[in-house]
Amino acid sequence: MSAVASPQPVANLYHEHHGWLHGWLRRKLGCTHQAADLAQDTFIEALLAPGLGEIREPRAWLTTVAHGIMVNYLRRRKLELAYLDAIASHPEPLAPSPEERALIIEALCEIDTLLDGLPVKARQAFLLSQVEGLTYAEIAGRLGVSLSMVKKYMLRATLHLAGFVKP
Amino acid sequence: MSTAVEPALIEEAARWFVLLASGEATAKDWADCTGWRSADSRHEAAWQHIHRSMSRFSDIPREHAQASVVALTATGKDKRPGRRRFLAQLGIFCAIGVAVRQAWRQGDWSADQRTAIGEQRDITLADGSRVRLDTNTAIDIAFSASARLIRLRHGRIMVATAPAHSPAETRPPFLVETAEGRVEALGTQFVVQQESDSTQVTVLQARVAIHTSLAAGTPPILAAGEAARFGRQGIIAQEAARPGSSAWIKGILVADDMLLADFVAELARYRSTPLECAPAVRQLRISGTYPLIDTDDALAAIGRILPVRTQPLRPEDPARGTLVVAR
Repeated sequence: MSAVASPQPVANLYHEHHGWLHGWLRRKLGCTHQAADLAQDTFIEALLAPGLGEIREPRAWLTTVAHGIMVNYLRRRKLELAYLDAIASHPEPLAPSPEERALIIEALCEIDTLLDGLPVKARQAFLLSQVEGLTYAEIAGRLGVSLSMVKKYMLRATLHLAGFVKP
Repeated sequence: MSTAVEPALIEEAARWFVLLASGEATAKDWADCTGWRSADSRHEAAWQHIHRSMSRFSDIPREHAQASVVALTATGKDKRPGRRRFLAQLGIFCAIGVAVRQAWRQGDWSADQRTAIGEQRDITLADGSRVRLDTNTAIDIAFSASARLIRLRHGRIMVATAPAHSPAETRPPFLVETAEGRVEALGTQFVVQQESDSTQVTVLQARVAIHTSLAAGTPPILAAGEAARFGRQGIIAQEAARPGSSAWIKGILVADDMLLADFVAELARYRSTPLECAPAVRQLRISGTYPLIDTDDALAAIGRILPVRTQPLRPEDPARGTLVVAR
């Protein structure tokens, strides 16, 4: 398996399917500019994919890759909207600069990925503790659960983040 | 992971971390933890490992903390909320009771209508309503003056209730009963699926009301395009219906960034021999449209899209099942 595809198959792939992929993404996203960006990202991925020349059904392959990219993009946008929503209804006015906002969204995306797979309550308890800095007693009150439940959530989340595998 | 820290020590370090993060840790707690860390270099390594995995959380500026938590909580979701919680809440006697009840419900011998594995069938009820039975499904039909009741013993059905002949006509409520409760049609088309410990409902048209067997008060209403999973105590998860989730009615499986493990589990429902997914490929994602009528065809198609192939589950007996593995 070669590490990087030779430029020729990618050029062919691009030539033959770029217009189609752009159309596919545009129908999914309803925006031609975003679709163009994501189509570009898909071909970058293709350039890095091993064994590109052997792909037998390029459109199925491209849609699978493009879909992954789109899901990430939509997840990011969902987080961004949720965040903007949250600062809009924040008790004190918050107006982060565009740079600051981009950094925060970036951090939120990474945290979202790190916590992926945790039950909602464990996720929330951990965030309240580690991001908002609440005590366990405060978290218990906020979530309406017992103190020992908060400790369980915290341990669960900590082990999840540490990549703990049961021996 | 590059540095191999023993899992048992990771767990110990995590317990220390949770103790100290409470906001009410005493000076003695801190001193004890320091003592533990310095007792052995492997302890310290485990402690550092925990701290490294937390580093991203301190990147959020203080004044943005609250909004960040709100945003991240809003985007969190439970993957498989039902099973674990349900089992945790059950005492062993209750579990036995449920098992007996399930065994009775799943016994096909007395069901009014049933389909074999891989079969789908349409039936028309006395009032003109239509029911589509999916693979491996059994129902009882009990129409009376007080209710039009369908008991779903297992499997999945789509119901399209017949419209009333005139607006003035009053008809008994149309109900689908599962192990967890009843779904009441409010003039409508919907799908009900009995799962191992919960019921899944998807509304295609109009609305339904969900009466779970142990919940009191006003029953939650689900509108077209919404889906919910409920247990006996109430709704466990509610969300927009996954696009294509009802394509099985047309004999098609629509995958939209679906985990291969879920995809294979869905296909397996239509096969009379076991179909399993090897752990190494469970996390792969798949999109596209696949035939449920010919699952061999669907398996061949995923082999062309993802780096997977099929092999016999038991090499000594190829007829005993199929395993999806990495190519």
